[in-house]
Amino acid sequence: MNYAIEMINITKTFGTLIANDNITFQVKPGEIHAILGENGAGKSTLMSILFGLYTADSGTILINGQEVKIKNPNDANRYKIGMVHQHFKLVDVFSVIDNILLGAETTKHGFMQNDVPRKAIEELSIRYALKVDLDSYIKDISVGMQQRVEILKMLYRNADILIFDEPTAVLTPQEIEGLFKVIKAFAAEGKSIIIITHKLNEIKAIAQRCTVLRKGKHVATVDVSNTSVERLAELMVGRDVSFEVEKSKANPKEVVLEVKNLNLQNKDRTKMILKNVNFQVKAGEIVCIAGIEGNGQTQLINLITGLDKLHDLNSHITLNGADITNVSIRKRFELGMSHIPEDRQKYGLILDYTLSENMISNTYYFDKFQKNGLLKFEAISAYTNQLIEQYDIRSSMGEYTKTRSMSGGNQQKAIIARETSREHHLLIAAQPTRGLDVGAIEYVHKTIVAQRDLNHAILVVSLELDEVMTISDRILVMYEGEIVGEFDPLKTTVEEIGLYMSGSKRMELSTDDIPSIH
Amino acid sequence: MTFQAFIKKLVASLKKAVSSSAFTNTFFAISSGVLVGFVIMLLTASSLSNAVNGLFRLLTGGFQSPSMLGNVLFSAAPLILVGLSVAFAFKTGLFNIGASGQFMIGGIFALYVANLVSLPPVIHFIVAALAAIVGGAIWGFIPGLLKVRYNVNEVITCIMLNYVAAYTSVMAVENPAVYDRGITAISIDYPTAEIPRLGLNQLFPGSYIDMSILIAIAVAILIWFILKKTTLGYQLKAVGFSKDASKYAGIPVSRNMILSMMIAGGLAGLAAAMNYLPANPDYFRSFSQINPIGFEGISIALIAQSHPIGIIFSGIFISFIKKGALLMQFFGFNKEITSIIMSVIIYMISISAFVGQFIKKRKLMKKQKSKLIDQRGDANV
Repeated sequence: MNYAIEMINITKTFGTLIANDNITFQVKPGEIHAILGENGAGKSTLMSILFGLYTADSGTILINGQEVKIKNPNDANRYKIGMVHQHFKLVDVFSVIDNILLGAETTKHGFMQNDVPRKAIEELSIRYALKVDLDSYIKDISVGMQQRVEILKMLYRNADILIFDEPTAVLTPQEIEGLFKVIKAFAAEGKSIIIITHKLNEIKAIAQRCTVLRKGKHVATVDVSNTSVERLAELMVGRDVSFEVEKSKANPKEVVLEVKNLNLQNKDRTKMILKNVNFQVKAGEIVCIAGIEGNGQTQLINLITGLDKLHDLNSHITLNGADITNVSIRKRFELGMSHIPEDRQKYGLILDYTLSENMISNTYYFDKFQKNGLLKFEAISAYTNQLIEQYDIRSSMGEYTKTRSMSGGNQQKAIIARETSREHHLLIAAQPTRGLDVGAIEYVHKTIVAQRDLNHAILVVSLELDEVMTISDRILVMYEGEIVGEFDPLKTTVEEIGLYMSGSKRMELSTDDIPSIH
Repeated sequence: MTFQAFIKKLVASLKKAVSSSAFTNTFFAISSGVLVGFVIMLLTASSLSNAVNGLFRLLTGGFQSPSMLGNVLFSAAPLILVGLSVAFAFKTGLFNIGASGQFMIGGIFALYVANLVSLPPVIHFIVAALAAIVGGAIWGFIPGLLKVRYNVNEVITCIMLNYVAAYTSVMAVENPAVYDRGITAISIDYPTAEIPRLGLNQLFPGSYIDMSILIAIAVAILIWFILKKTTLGYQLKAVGFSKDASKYAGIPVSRNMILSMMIAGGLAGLAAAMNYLPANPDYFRSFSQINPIGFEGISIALIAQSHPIGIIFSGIFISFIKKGALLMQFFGFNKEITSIIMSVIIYMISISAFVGQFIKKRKLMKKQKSKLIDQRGDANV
């Protein structure tokens, strides 16, 4: 059997970390091959080696049976390898066509000759139904279109081997469907496709074979058609995983958080980031805000938690009846707010502090932990060890571990431990499972449901529709800074929510002057 | 605890400190600095023996007599305090390049109180030293405030305030009641405000020494204690490590940054009091030049990797090298050459602190890699 790509016995280390340990990986021509693994399993490293971003410490790469050395992305281009990165590599202030041509310009006497390439790109765009506006600037177009630009960029360079790194993370269900159609069309033409992902359903939907990596090692390469999702999960994590969270019916009580007429303009006052947002979260219920990234969820959470200041005079946020619109973050915490932030490394932890120092980062001034300005190290240590035990936080040196050296899942556990074990009425969790592996996700979901059952009010922001459907008692959909729909997860479908997330449908939620589309 | 147990514990902790990587780094840094200094001596000396003698004098000059040693300790006190000033700001994520300006303003405050206020001895000194702290703190407050209110980089503000401080000192020091400029170039007497000598001058006869070195050491220990054991230190370091995470946790970021700059400024001000209030002080520079002590403070903080206790030693070391360099002049090295050699040594020390860390990292990587290959070999067998 001839393979389009063979990567044989690839090893790559970064300092003390073995990112790829003797991995062998083969893709047939015309095949859609998925690479599955938890965060840090070595998927992206392996693909970066193939694309020339890193060079392997040892091992060989064969393209169509020929041994090749790929030292940089230019080499990769020569061997017709193209890659769409998870975070797009586009120049924001360049037009679409300039981005596609960047590095492969047609010039005459040093001047750009765009007419011929423009025609070629337009043809590609029609042939594969990749609709883009060639003259718009990248900063003005949607994420979905940006991805299409990246794909056209590869096609324009005649790539035969296409690598997609987490291509669906930023797309709506409808956009995902469109992307999969395009990918299947590529495969039908004999191009080899590699998809890096940790979403099992997508692998089932599109891939023929799947290579599973765990902790830098090759675990298995399986035929997708005769492998169940559960089996894939087990291979990836190394143990049984349950996808369903056991959850009784919610029993909402008094209102804990109320957001009234929240409005926010962007910095140069040209655009509304949040438009007239109104909602309540009651004790004993989990409210999920669904939506595509960048529709105002981050700003909403920042306003509620106090990370951003609110300037609009008519906007009000109340917590347990107290107006917290303009009070300090510390005061909000004291009034009963807990916050699991979206960016756990930027906000959630002081990475150069130890685990025990992080456990008291918002309570260090309590009498429990200090007296006359002197820290009570014994009390802090006892408290930390209790949380380590209770929440099963794993690290190399226990309470003395620098949190920077901990894995993402354990960092998140540490934050959850701190935020849920301090006295609170409201728990705000922004993308609590972002970047976590299946095992950790399961844990986070269980903890959130347990918090609800303790009669706390829970507000969750999530970009993952599956997560929203699993844990929420009520779903709010945000689109362009507005809440455009409210659903009961038991009475709706992923597809229906997807239509609201993409702005193609909306509900009349209030009697205000919001124009209706349907 | 018995005395023996105490000694045992002390030895154990010393052993631990000596075997630590920070110590190796510092040792490597200092030796490479001296080595490069020696190369320059070879290039400028008339003969090899002359260069060797010069090096010998540089490295032993500070020890050659009790009075020399006393003077090393005497001039180490302000250096230690300025080093602490830079290090303290470092810990809060700020770069205090304005210690020179804070030092000069602190000096003006100290001189004015010493000359224009009359108080009984010791109390007069304490008040003058406190005034110096206040002066330095004000000079630290300005860049801190500008940073948190208008997001002006503290490095730029500090550099500009250094000039403001230099010219302000020119203006302020011309007051004949404060500074006797024309005749002696040594400031006039203010015996009641002098730093108490506590009989240390009998221990090191013939030297300038007074209790300033004890004050510097006590302050270093105090700073260490604050950073290590108090909620204040916890907050300051948290802000230094991550402003975003501190803000998220409800720690008042702006207040802590201003406070940190004020404390740093106060330390530089106290250094000025140690510099200007002894019985035989350096003369006050009444010309428009920025006092370079703030930059020496940066080196001192770097050598000690901002550890307050380490700064006691690096401060004494720099003072020692400076005295040794002075003595080199007896061996035909002129003043400029000795200052070049001294600067090269300080410079080398500062950069090799980084080089040492880099080499250590590489070593660790190699070790891990060979371990990995070993493991693989075992598995194959």
